[in-house]
Amino acid sequence: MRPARQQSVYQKRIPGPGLSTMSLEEFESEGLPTRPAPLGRALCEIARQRENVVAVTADLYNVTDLNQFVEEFPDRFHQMGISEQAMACAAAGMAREGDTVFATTYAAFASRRAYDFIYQAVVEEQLDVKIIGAVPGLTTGYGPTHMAAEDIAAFRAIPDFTIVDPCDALDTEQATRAIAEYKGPVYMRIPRFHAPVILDDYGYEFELGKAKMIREGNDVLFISTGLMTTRALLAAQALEKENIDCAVLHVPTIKPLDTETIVEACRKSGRMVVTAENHTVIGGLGDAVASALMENQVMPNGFRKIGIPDLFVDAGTLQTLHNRYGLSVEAICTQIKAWL
Amino acid sequence: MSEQKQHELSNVSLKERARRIRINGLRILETPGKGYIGQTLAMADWLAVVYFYALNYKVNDLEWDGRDRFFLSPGHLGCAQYGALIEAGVLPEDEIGTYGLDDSRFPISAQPAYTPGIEISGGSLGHGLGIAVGSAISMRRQKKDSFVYCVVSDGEMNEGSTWEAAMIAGTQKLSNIIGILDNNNMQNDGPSREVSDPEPMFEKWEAFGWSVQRIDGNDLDALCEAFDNARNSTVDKPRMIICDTQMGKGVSFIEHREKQTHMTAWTPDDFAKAYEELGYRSE
Repeated sequence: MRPARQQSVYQKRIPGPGLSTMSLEEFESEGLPTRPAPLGRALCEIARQRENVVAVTADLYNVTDLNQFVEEFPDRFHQMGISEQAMACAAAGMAREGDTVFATTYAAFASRRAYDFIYQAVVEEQLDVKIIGAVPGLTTGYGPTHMAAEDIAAFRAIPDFTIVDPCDALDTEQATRAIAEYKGPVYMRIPRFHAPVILDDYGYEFELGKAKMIREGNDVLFISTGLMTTRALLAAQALEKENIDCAVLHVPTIKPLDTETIVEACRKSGRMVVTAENHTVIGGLGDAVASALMENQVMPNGFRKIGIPDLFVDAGTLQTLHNRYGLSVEAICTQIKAWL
Repeated sequence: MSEQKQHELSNVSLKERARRIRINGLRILETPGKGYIGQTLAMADWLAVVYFYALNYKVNDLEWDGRDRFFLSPGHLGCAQYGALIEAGVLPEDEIGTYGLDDSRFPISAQPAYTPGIEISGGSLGHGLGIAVGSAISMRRQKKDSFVYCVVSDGEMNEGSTWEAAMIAGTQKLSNIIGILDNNNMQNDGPSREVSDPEPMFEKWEAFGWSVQRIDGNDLDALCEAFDNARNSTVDKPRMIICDTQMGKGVSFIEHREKQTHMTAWTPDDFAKAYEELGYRSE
């Protein structure tokens, strides 16, 4: 019999709510308004302007939001089959001929299976390829096989590789335009299907390489990325009712990290700094921020990381798993109150 | 006469080109005194045919968009390609002694960042054919009528990614790819047939939708004919030329040596004997 998996401390404190039939879309959007296929729609807009924008996929076009692109630009879409390694190489070959290539698959397969091919064929040669990872972090209940808890950590280690983790539909649309403009290799994780919309209310605008303060607050500073910025904003709203004043600094570009903005925000005295990411706490945003603070001699009033714990997570329903591993809004609020 | 075909005006025979490529290769490998000696000698004949018969390129404009692309997927065999590029006049002969040294333009594994005429970083095996697939797709869409030549090795047939790329090329009928499979039946841990048997190669590539030829890769006439066939074929399929090559070809004392490892180490005497046999005397 195999040994029992390691369990997170958190798991013991917050029991899951039991079986849920909540769909991925409902789960990701938390009851927020949504917009469909942000990557795919933005990509079509770009492709209408630029003839050299092409897309490839590894048998996952319909679940990586490329449906509209495939329909509108059939001659600029190339199916590579279930072959992430060859897809990364083919994308490199196409970029060598002057194309800007969007290559889509699940984040787990891009990062774990195609790593060497992305490393050598694409990034080492600084080719204009955008690797798009769908279902990033804990956004599938399949368990570790399909989950990319460590994609950011893995790709962060590759030199000159830009890493983007947008938060909602608005962020994804703007980021798609920005990375298409940027000439070079990028890894972007995406929300897909009917993606939540939250940043429209905050006057936010995506800029590649920039962190953005989207909510001010004096007690806690969330430094967050991707899906967890949505959660941080919702948690901040909830905690406000309990007189806990939270700021949210959204960091959609993990690499290169906007160290200046992060360090400046953390210098402000008295705030506990809490990083939040839909990714393992090993080697992602939290570690990057901690490293930046130490290197700049900044010691905040407490430092905590929220993320997927360093263990092989369970399979199950997303609602349960996000509660179990401390990523849900409710779990974030509980943790913050315990830490303050 | 177009500039790119100037090298064809030369009266130098392909046999002589191959001999010089062997000498260049050995001189390059003399710096460390060891390396892919058997492979370099094996590849010299088809390299001569590629650079002096088949490939369309301009010595003085390596980025010329109308060129045929040439990808060496087993990038660790860069030593052989450097030898050919020197003979073609792309690389200078006087840098031969820098192979593998600091700041050299001849790193042990070929990389485009270092060396003019090298198009891709191979070396980590199983990359080249996939890159060729992408280049071929984009070149076809952009209506460029050049070919992508891609060298793969028999050992590389162990890599699953090679077959992923082979399958895509077959499905998409990428008739602008000409594969060169250097089959010297030797990989790091021993004969390919014993490590992970790539045979039957002809049938495998054919089954993946390729038009396949299999020839003696050290027979210059057969090579020229095979490249002519590959270029002129109207078959709507990617083309593969399986070149059965002989490790150590052209230097008798290692041609039939039973055990030829990847990192053959030679004594200065070995090099001297080989140069003598190839009619080259170092100063």
